[in-house]
Amino acid sequence: MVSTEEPSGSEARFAVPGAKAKSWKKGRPRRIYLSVGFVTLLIAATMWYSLRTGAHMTEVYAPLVGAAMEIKLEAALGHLWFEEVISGDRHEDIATVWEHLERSAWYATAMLEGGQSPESTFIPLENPGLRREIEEVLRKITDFRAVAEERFAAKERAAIGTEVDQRFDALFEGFLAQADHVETSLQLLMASELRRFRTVQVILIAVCIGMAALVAIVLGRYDRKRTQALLDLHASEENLAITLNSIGDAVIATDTDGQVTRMNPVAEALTGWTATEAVGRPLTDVFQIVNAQTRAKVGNPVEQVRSEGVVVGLANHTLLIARDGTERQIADSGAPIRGHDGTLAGVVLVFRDVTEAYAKDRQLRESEERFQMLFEQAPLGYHSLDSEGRFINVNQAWLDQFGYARDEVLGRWFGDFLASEYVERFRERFPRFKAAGRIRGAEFAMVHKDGSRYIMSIDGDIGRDEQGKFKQTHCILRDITEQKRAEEALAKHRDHLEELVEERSRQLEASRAQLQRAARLASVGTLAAGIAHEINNPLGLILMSAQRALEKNDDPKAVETSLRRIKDDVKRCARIVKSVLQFSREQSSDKWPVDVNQCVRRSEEFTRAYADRNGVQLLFECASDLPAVAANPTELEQAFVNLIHNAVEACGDGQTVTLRTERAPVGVRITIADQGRGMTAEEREHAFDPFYTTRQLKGGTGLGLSIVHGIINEQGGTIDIDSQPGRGTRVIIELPVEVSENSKE
Amino acid sequence: MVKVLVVDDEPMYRKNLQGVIFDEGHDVEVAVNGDNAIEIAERFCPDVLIVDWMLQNDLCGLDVAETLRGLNPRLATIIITGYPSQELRIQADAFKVFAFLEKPFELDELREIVRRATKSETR
Repeated sequence: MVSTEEPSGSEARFAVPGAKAKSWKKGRPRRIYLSVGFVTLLIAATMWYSLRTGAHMTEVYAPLVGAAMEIKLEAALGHLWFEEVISGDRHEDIATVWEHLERSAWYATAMLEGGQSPESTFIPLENPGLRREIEEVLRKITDFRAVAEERFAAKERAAIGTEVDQRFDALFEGFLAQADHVETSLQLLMASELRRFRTVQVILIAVCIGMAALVAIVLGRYDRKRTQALLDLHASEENLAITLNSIGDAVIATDTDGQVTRMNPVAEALTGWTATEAVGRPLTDVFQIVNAQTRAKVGNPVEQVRSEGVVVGLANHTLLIARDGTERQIADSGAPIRGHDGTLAGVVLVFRDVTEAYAKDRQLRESEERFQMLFEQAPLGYHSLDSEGRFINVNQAWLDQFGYARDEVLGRWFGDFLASEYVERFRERFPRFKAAGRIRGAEFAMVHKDGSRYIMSIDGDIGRDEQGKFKQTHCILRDITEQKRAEEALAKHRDHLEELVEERSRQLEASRAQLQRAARLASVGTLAAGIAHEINNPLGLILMSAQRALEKNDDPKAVETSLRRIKDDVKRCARIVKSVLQFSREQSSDKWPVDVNQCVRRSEEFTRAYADRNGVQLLFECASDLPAVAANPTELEQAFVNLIHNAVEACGDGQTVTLRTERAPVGVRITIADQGRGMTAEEREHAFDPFYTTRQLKGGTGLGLSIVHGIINEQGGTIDIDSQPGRGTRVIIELPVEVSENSKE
Repeated sequence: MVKVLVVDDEPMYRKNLQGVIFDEGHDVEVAVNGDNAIEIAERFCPDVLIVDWMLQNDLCGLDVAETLRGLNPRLATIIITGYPSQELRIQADAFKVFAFLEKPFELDELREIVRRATKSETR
């Protein structure tokens, strides 16, 4: 996928990435072109230098070497022809010799000054040493010609071996040696030039290779960087695509003509167009928006961005109509896309579906309104304080409570509304409340605008911001003034009551003593009243009978009757006194385990005759397995006798009294039942009261049942009466089995 | 002739009192209890009532006296009691009984009271 070609495809679809792609092209190519040009020039220069130096050497040294050889050749020919001329050879003349010598000198001069021969062109020598050598050769040629002329002039006389001849030969030898020397020097010079030329060539070649290598490296790096840059570009492009596709908002990009160049999947979903279909189409086809309220078409956002050149937020209540007609509430914005040079490259639209958010917003607003209504109409005062304790908010109930208008409260310090003695308390407690985040039932006295005081109970919580830091308080105030007053009054009342109770307790303590005394007196009084009544009646009769006897002493029969009555009444008085004594006895009699049935049988003996006299039948039904009870048998017998007497008296002739003994859950039960007239409720109620009697006419003292009651209680038992008028009476006694501590075996 | 009604639940008292009053020359009737007394008084219309304070059943001597006073506003009431408590005396005073007689009493005492009662009656 990595390509060194320009990523034309994606570039065309989205304008933004171009900026980065161009930035790396800028500096590097110029350097590369420069270095390549430099290397090329260097190589050209090297070649030019080589050619020029080779040519120069050919042009300069080849003729010079030829010339040096020509110098020697012509001189040798001259010398040879001169010898011939001297030796008399007719075919040769001296002019030829001079000609050869002149030719030799010309070559030498040509080497120095330059010249043109039919074969070659000579370029003057520049080497000063060699020039001096050549000038020496030229001088020797001149010298040799001079000697040669001298010898030719003396041709007849100068034979071989003469002084001239010897000079001539010596000069020639010297000349040849010099010519050889020149030749040798020239060759040495040539060799030296050649060496230098080679050296320079080697250096140049090395430099060329070095430069080429450098350029190769630079090019290699350039290529790598370019490749990397392309890779980066591609990655960046992919990244951008992924980013765009991952954005939760819908994104549509257009070119400057308003044609869609790119869109992400969210945009596809919201518009109902796929990116493939949409790209290249005008934005207005794909992105149809109307005003949610008026349904008027909203202007092309691209136009707006293009004309204004800045980021524009589109109007609220914008409705996007998707390809399938679905309408969605959207929030959107358009921004210009600018190239690196700042020119407008397109427009990018970002929008999102806010249908739900709108609905939520509406719900929230409604909820807010409801809350506000509740808040304002709440019967309890509410306030909200900032971190300094200043009012942020209060509700109507609060304002009503304290008589202020809202703008008189908001922004003011809570402490300003407190009764002065509570200000410090608030100052001290508020930081603690903020730290704890909660307070319940804090009591503060607050002052109404008219100066009246109210005791308020405050419940508060704090609200925190997103960082969890204190934001404000939420407090509810309850007027507990009345409650407090009531409590105080109650407390006062309670104190008073306590005092009263104490006072009463003291009084009661005092009166209890009095009462005890009074009770004692009362019981004595009751007894005394009974005694008085019971005794005075027979005493009255006795007195009356005695008087009647005295008055009728002439009638012995009447006197006797009166005396008998007196006797009966005196007995009656004695009986009453005895009963009173028994009733009022102070010490309890001793108790020991007693067979109840035995007591019953003994009591039968005492009552049988009495029952018979009254025509009443006595029945005894005694259980055989009775446990012993702790009791005084004599007293028990007396109780039974009394009860049987009562029963018999209640019965009419022929009726039955039944005495039954049986086991009871906690001991022994004795039941005495008669078929007599029964008792009224009142009689039953007073049955055990002393001196209460229904048998006064028959000599009842009213003490019988009282005595029975006392005896049974003394034995630790219970006695109950079950009776109704006309239906007989049942007296039920229960005696416990437990043997008391002071019992005797 | 002065009519005297004797009410007592004690038979011997009834018998003796009846004899004494009769001997005084008055017309006398006896009753055993309150109900009986009212029953008799309706036809007998006594001028003097001799009644024991403590009677059987619910009616006491004063109750009987009050009822009979309804029949005869000029009725003279003589209360007899064996237990002359302070409370009883106060009640009797409030009722303006003619006499308050404690047991045991002298027959002459009774005769004197009845005599005074009948005298005031005849006057």
